[in-house]
Amino acid sequence: MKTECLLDVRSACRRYKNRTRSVAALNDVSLTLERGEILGVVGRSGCGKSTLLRHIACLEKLTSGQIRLDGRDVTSARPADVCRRVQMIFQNAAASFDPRMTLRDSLLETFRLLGEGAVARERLGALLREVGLGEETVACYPHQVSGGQCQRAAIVRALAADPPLLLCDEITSALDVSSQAQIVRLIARLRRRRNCAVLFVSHDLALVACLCDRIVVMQDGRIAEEGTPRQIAQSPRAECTKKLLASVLTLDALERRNDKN
Amino acid sequence: MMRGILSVRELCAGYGGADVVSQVSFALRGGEILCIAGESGCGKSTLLKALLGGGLFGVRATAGSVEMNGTAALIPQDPGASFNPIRTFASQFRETLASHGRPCREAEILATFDSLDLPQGGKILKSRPYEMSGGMNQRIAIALALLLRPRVVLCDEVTSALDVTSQAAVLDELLRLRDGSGAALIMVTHNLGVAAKCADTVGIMHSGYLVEYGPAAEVLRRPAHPCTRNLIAAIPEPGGSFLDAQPGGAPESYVGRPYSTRPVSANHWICRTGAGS
Repeated sequence: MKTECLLDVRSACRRYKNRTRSVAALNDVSLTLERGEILGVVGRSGCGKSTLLRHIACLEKLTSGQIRLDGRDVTSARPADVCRRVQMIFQNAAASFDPRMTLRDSLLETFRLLGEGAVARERLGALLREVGLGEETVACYPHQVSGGQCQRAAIVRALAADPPLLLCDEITSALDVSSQAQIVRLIARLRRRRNCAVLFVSHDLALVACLCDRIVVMQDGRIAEEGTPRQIAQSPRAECTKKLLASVLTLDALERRNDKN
Repeated sequence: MMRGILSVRELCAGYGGADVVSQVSFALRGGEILCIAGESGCGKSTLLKALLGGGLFGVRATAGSVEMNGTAALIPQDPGASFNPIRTFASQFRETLASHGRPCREAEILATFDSLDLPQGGKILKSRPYEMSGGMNQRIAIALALLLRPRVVLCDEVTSALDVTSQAAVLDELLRLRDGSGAALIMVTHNLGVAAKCADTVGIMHSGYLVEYGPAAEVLRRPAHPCTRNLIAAIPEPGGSFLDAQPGGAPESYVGRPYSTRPVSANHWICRTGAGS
């Protein structure tokens, strides 16, 4: 079956400099993403995962390299130029909403900014049903709802533009495990229904393996390893991948403790 | 008379007279690690704050009792926010130790840093929280707690904000702390993987109640309560099945009802049988 390349990142480099030193946050990163594919990006804090997403969303500019989205070069584009094709969902959903506005008002404002004010209420209602949020929930302020509910509202905001690519930056890190499970299942469902591609960033390799079609492991701004969840879980090659796998806490830790004793 | 290091009986506590924790009972021996798990908002953190007593963080006990042999220290979830961002660690350590009547000896602080894999302790003392990574701030908060020589260490989601490799390292350090000092640990978490790695005893909270309590292997391998099963189902496994936790947690009918079908023995339901008193 012929696949369609949606995102093509080529030799992306980004250096941050201050008076005393220069750090390569992205160092020759290349990856592709097909339409409807979920790609997991894992790695320790500071490995460049979020930096990569911010550049794909055109929130920052690369030092060198190229980003092509839907066949078009967006390396120098502004966020407003790509907002209908790529949307980002952040780790701290509550902080990404205006605390003085109800979630509903914030979401309606998103539709107005997209030039769809006339059909905003109708479209918002449909999206709320799609992610399983009630009207009474979005009538609240961000601090009045749970982390999982706030994250669903953030997903609604991202879906308002109906983008073919969603960037998820540690979107479950601040949630408890059962809210995390619900959000991950929602992302999987959205991919099935809308055929949207997802770049899912997390430091939890086990979580990414449950959701993604492919995984890239990053370390120090570089891609250290790439493979399917099965390849990564069963025959990891890079040391950092082995470390990430060893750090995953499952109930098997009980047996390992007993073995040690 | 209390045999262990901590005895909590029928504790009810909350904010402004409204109970968030209801009828919680358990006991703890020296060197024991109790993991309390549950979904966000179930009352785990409020329980820890209630154990500190004195109305700290606005939490007050409205019924029941807490008996403790010795002092307790709390390691907060977000050490970056609990330290003063504009003051050096040296001045914050000095102030905290003085307010607890403990001497502030630099050699002792540096030795504690060393034991927690924090090299260049002298440089750390001159630094401020924003200059450190999340994992380092967490280790520094643990060091401060250790210097207070507590008999009970209360850990409030201490690894939730860390990446998985830092999480594993911090848990190893907490286990070493228990082995070295004999202090008892109460670790609040929403991740039962943490409990599987560390806990001797596991308690599951839901809607303010301790709904399941027992030895770690028994609770985690033979969960009796729907809330426990739901938390276990939500643990992702690499290469494993898709997450199948039920939306909304346990069925409504279980909300807030203690689930005590396990056979009572000296180790189970220790407070319910009166064994802790």
